[in-house]
Amino acid sequence: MAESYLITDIGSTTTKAILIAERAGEYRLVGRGEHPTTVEAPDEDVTVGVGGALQDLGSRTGRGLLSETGILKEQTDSCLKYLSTSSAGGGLQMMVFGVMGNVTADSARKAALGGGAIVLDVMTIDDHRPTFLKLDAIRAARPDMILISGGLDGGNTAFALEICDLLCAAKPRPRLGKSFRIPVIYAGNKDAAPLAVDTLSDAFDVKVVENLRPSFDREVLEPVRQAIHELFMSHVMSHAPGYDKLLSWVDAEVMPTPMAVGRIMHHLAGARGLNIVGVDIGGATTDVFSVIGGVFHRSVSANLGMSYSAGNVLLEAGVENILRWLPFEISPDDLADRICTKLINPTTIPSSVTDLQIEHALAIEALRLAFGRHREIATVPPKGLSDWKSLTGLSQVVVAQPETRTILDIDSIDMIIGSGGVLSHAPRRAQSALIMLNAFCPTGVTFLAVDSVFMMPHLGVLSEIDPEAALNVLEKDCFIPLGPVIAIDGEPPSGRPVVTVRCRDSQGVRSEATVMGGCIHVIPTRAPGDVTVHAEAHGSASIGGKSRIQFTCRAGQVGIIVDARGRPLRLPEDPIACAQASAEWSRQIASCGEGREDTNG
Amino acid sequence: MDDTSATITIISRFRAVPASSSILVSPGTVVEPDTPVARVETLLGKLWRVNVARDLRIPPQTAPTRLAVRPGESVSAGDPVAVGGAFFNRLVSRSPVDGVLALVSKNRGIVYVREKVETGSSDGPVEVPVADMLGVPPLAMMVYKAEGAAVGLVAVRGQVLARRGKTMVTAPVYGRITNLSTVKGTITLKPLFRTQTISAYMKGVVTRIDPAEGVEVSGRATVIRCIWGLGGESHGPIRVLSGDLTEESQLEEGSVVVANGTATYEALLHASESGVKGVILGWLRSGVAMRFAGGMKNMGVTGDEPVPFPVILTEGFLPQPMRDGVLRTLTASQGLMCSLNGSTHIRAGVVRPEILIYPD
Repeated sequence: MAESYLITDIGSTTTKAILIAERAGEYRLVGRGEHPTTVEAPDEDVTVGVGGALQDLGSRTGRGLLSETGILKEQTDSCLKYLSTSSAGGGLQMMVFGVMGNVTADSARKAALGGGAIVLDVMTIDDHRPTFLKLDAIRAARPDMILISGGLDGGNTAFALEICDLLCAAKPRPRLGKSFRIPVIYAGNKDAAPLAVDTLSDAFDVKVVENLRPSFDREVLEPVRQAIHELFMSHVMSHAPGYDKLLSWVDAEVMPTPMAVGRIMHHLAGARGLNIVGVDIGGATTDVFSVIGGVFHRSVSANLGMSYSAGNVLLEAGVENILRWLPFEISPDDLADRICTKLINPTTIPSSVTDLQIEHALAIEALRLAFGRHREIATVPPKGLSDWKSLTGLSQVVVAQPETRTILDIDSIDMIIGSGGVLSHAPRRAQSALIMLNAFCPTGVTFLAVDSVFMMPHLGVLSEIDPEAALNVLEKDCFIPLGPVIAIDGEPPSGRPVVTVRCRDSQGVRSEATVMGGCIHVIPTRAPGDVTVHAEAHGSASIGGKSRIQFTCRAGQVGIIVDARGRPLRLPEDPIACAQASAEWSRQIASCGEGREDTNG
Repeated sequence: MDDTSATITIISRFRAVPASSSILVSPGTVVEPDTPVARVETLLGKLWRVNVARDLRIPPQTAPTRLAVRPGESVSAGDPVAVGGAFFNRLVSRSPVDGVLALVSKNRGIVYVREKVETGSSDGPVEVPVADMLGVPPLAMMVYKAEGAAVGLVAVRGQVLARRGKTMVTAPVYGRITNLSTVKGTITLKPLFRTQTISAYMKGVVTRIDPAEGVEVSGRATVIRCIWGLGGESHGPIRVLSGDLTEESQLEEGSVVVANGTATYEALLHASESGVKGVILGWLRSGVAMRFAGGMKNMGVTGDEPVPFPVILTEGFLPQPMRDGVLRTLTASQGLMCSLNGSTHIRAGVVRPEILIYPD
């Protein structure tokens, strides 16, 4: 009997269920359902919300999915496998410790984020906080899990042990389960590991893994990520309300939601040979994921979002930077009042076109800031120090510490995937495209897509047991392709032809457009399937450093987007001219109409 | 905002107290908003490291067996924390401060004593003349200042702020460093504990006491929940104005002023100069609120702003007068005592500002 997959993502507010089954020889999305998450009182049992979501899904698909004893795994046409991800109750919350902020603690923070955690605090020996304040902060944090990195292998053991002493003194209480011993992952100086275990084991469950920063120029993050996943299952999940029951239902380990998103992105990037950036912009936080050259990174901007954090976006970006994306004139004070109104009424949705345009301008700045922070996270250690040390033959050398290097070069990104209400549910897909275009300013050729219903966590956990099915559903049911962006480099001359684009769709229909400098132009692609594109830059103009390019890609709902505004994108300094330019670009990108019907989601 | 609760109800508020506080009331005590219910005696502050293994000349792992006090016990400055050596060659490791033995390292031969910090009596900022005390020009203060003496960091009383040779300048209070002036050569600290007592906040009766946690006060009041506020707690009799709060408004010292419209920055300064205890408005421009708060880091989490009185908005930041039901309730309460708290947390577990109006 064929297998079907029933998958839930237990979020902080909503539990989302999807059903994936075989149709005409391939796995496709059959339906989805949802229910408020029930981790808090009065239910305090996540399976109540899971049951509700499955009932909703069952009523939409005409299937009975739930019995009194659990999930009905024997269906008439298939055998159901049940999988789940979870970020309920605020997700996995970790504290991270290291010796030096920009060496071991930096690597530890990356490992924790990559493992799907929310990092409550990063403490280091060199962070200038007095010890008693650190103790208070540890007690106040109530982490689910702690990660200690500290000391390069062969270095001083005292610092790593000092961190262990600090933890013993603070005796942090767990968030969930009174009898629960907080798991501590020790990934520091290997010479200090036995003493660290001895120091901590009376109060904590200690797991030792390979030093995540054995030397200045080496970073080993995967063992820590694996340990986070194992301990999340064995310790944290088992103490969350109702999870004991949930764990008896699932056919594979429950995965932290962000980790699952990372898995599916990693899988997609590997299978298609792409460098990918994904963003999930929510009300309070914005997550950015990237897979560049096969290396996965995740960052969480906990204070950038569209409602609860709208005020922070205003303060951090500055009102003038938000103002520049609006297609109408408004005073900075009036704009600030409107954004603050959204902040104090966080669950409202835009009630006018003006409010919607302000929300889109806010989203551009939130994404721009979050992407900037992600570039600081997506780094690799400095190179060459070990070689230099071995050449000198000195065991103790003092060297000026070179900076870590970002690996996120905008030129290297092949695909940008947007998720979150403001992108997934924009009234027109062209608006989502323009938000991403303005926020990321992609160069060369970059494909844009949005996640229709935030199904990526479900597909991430599925990819662990059926990667082919996960990828098929991702590309055919989850993503809404918006189309490729062809961006012109430098400063194209305004009002003069800078590029001619010719394309042929899957039905052989040909289109051609010559685009003027300073403009955005969209060539609609009405037929589904692949589209072949030739672009030829005129004069001194170029596309990602080339004068002509050719590529084939999936047709997008917006079309082929030609952005001839130049890179870096320069906006008029005069506020009135800037508003006029924004209005003109909004009109230009929307003028194509929507290319095709929305077939996904 | 909630304008459906214009009826008098029984409410309770829990007054949390820090550790080492004395409770000043007992169950059944009748309290007014400004009645002290607890006094903070001392706070646990900085951790002092004592190297027992070195003092006693023993292997680090044996240090825990030589302790003279147990973790959690109090110790005075100069008292032994660990004793070792032979009868005629007694070695002692002593506490450097009055405190509590907080931690014994299993493997490093170190113990930590957590200092008991007396709370400061000063409310205002304390300016320390560092350059004068070191005998250097103002600008040179930056050369001699300690690493932990930076704006935004907390300094414990006695912590070294600057050092030149054997001359040290230490923090006179437990507070946050708010300014380093290279013109005057001074470091300014804002005491973290501005008050030694915790008030009842509301009018009522003490209904529960938990010596380790705090005091519960209950009483009868009309509760109005509002949408956004600035500043912490206050109380006073209600005085309702007609229209906006302006620079010309006649204001009564000690009152809580209600205006169904808005206010300018200058009008709020006028209210401050008039000595009012709180301002309740229909709406206020976000820029005025930010300016009055002296700049803000997070509009969604308020309560600690250095404002002279709480400012509470019933409607928000867009021009919208106070809705009728709320204005009616406040107008009918003219002259009645109220408590108000401007703290706002727009997050999961939302906290909105509140007004408690007590029946005559």
